[in-house]
Amino acid sequence: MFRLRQLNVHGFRGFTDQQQFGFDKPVTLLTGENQRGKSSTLNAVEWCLFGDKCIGKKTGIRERIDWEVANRYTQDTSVTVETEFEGPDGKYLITRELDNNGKRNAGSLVIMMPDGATLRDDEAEAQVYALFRTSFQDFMTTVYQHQESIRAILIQEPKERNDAIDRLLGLSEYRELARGMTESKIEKSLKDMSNSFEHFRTRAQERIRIYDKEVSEKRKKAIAEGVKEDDISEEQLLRHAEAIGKAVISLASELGISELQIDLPVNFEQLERFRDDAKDKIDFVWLKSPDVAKLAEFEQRKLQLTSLLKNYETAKQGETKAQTERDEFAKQHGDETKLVKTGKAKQQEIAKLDEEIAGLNSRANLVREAIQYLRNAAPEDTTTACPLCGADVPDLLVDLEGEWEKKIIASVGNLDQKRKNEQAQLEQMRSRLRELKELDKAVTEAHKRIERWVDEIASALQRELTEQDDPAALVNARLVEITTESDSKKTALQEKGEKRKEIFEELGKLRIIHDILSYKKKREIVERIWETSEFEHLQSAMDQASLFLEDVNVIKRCLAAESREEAEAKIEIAGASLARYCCRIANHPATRGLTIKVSEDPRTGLNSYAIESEDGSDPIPILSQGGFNCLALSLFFGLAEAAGGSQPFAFLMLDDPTQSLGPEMKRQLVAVLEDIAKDKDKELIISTPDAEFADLLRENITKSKAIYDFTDWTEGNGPKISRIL
Amino acid sequence: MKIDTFEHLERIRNKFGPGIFGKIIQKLLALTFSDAGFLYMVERGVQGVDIDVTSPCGMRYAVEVKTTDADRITISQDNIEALKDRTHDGYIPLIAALRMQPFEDWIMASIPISRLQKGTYLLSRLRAYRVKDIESLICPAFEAATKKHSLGVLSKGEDYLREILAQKRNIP
Repeated sequence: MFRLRQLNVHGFRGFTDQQQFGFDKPVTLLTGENQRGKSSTLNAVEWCLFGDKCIGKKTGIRERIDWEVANRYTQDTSVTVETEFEGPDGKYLITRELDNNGKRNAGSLVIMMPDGATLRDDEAEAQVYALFRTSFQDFMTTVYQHQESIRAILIQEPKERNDAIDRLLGLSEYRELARGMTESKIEKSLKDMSNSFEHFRTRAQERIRIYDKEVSEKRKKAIAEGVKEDDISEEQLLRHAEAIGKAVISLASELGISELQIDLPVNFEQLERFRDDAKDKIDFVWLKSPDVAKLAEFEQRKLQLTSLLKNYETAKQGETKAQTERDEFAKQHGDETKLVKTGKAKQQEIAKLDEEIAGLNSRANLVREAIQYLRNAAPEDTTTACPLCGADVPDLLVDLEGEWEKKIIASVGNLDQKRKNEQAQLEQMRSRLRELKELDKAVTEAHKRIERWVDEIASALQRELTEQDDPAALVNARLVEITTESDSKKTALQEKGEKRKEIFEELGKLRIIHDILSYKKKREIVERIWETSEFEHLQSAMDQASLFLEDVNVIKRCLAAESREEAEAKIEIAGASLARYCCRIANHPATRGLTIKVSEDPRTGLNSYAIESEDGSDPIPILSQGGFNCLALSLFFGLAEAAGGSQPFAFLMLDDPTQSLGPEMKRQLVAVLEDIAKDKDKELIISTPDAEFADLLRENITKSKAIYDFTDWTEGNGPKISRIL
Repeated sequence: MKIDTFEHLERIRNKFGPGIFGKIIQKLLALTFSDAGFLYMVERGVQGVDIDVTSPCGMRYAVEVKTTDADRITISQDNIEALKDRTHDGYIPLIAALRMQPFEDWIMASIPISRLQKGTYLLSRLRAYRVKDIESLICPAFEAATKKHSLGVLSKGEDYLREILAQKRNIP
């Protein structure tokens, strides 16, 4: 058995300067408030022995994930923990160090043996294991009761509690392995592979369905066009193509093109090229054929002459219309000479009227002046002698004002009216004259148009035209000639045209048969995918994935079974002790005859723990938090007791064991610890922030004690510790 | 299976319905085993394992036949008991599963009896237990048998296959 004698800590977690702890008494207490370094002191022993095995998710302790080993508050990040053990053969000094950058949490291990030999690193690790034969899980289960373990079991959630009990029993590794396998989602990956494959299969099936439908429709069409079922084969298709090729060459020869070449297809793949080539060649020979070219030329000529004729006749009609309008106008209104003459006469007439009007106007002015004179100059004068002509007129003024003015005014008015009429007529003459000139101009332009079209006709007919020639008749005559020649050519080409049409029809059938066979080939390609080596590989990969998953599931089941067996074995070993300790500490009817039964969680396959009272009932609903703590402690004590002589360490470490315990339970716990210290010859190292519990331990544990009081902690200096003897 | 084979089987299923179709497939498979050179073939329509066969190299198999449209099959407690029963006589349990879809083939899965539990098995899981040697014999033979006998089955149903199987038994 190995007893812990001394511990030196430097730079570990909250520690800065070196601190030394002596474990020279049967009981060592670490007391003080929280966050002073008490738990870190116990953790240092653990880290010295196990390095990075006590860190991380695999420990099952949540707080150990991202757990920091080196003090984060100092510049110097080197860590040194030295433990001195007293064993059967003497003193063992085990030192674990972490370098300055603090990156390797495992640190480097050195062990000095009782004979002075020093081993380092892997050799040292191997020696430590050989000496103590204890894994970290076993150490947790039977030597060091972690406060985190108690805290975890206090949680009422079944899943969390199952995790915590697994941890207490040192079975976290099984749980983590099983969980890791589940979280790797191998099954999902295999399912995704299967789904991808299914998607591919469905696509292939759909594609084949489409091809089959196309083949069916094209087959119906082919048969409707006279293709026989026997013709729908690759061999027949090539023969068909050969026949078409020969027909094209024959047609070319008949059309006067003797050296036409066409490459016949020798296999299925060349058919599409042949089809395009044959079509191009037929179009080519047809267009290039002299007869066809001639026919095209005739048509072109006919179009040209017809257009010219139409334009000429339109121009002719235009000319006739213009002339007719001019002649009718002249007939109605006179020709230019007459109009000019009539205009001049009107002008003369207007001049005469102007003279008359002027004359009357001057006489009218005189009369007016005379009246004015008579009115103004001699209003009372009743003279009767006219001042204009001297005649004797009774009531001269009245006479002048009345009859003479009336006459003059009437006469001028008449003359004015006459003049206006004459003027209007003159304007009319002038307008007619202008109109006549416009009509003459139109006639002239019509003439010019005709002349232009006559020139065009002459050019088209390639001859001169005189005034004796009738251009329209000449064009018609030429049209008749061309039509006659063209009809003759058409008749000659008709038979060849029929052959051309037949070849196109055969090409059409060739295309349909080619399409049918193409779709069939595509279908075969899809079906053949399943025979390819790539598909074989894919199948093989899926088989391997499935096998892998199956193996993983088997391993999971084995792990679960192994974990369960081990749990059952440990619980059986600790069984009686568990009930006894629990009963002593808790002293509650529910804890009498307490047992823990383990079964498989059907959902996860992991351990599921059911706690039962003596009467078979479930105490969980009535257990207090303190009751759960008792359970955790009892399990620990039971397992430690069961380990007995096989456990190499002659000490137990407890960290904050009184969580949720009331005063009575604390007293009972102290009584249990007293028994362990006395009867089991185990040294106790207890860390607690609970002052009441610390007092109880001091007063009731009859073995001598060393007390380390953690009074303070600062960033710069770490814990401030004083030893109380 | 190829599209043509699938279409033959689909016609049979459409005519007789899924229940009878399952029995027809079982008989067709039995015939296939026979055509593929398997010996001492026993096909049961009622209780017990569906087919007992002996391979050309002397391995004895107790075959439970399953057809499905989906991606999984169901193994019942009765199936397991029947297979367990045969294992006492030295037979190797074999699950023969066929998914009725184009391009899907028989999966011949030899799951150890200790691992066989009642419930649903994904076809992808059966892959881990495939006996490729048997599949390579059976799959092409099944295609040929289906092509050969589909018209007879469409015409006379199960009885047709019963007659054929009976003839096979009479041949020494």
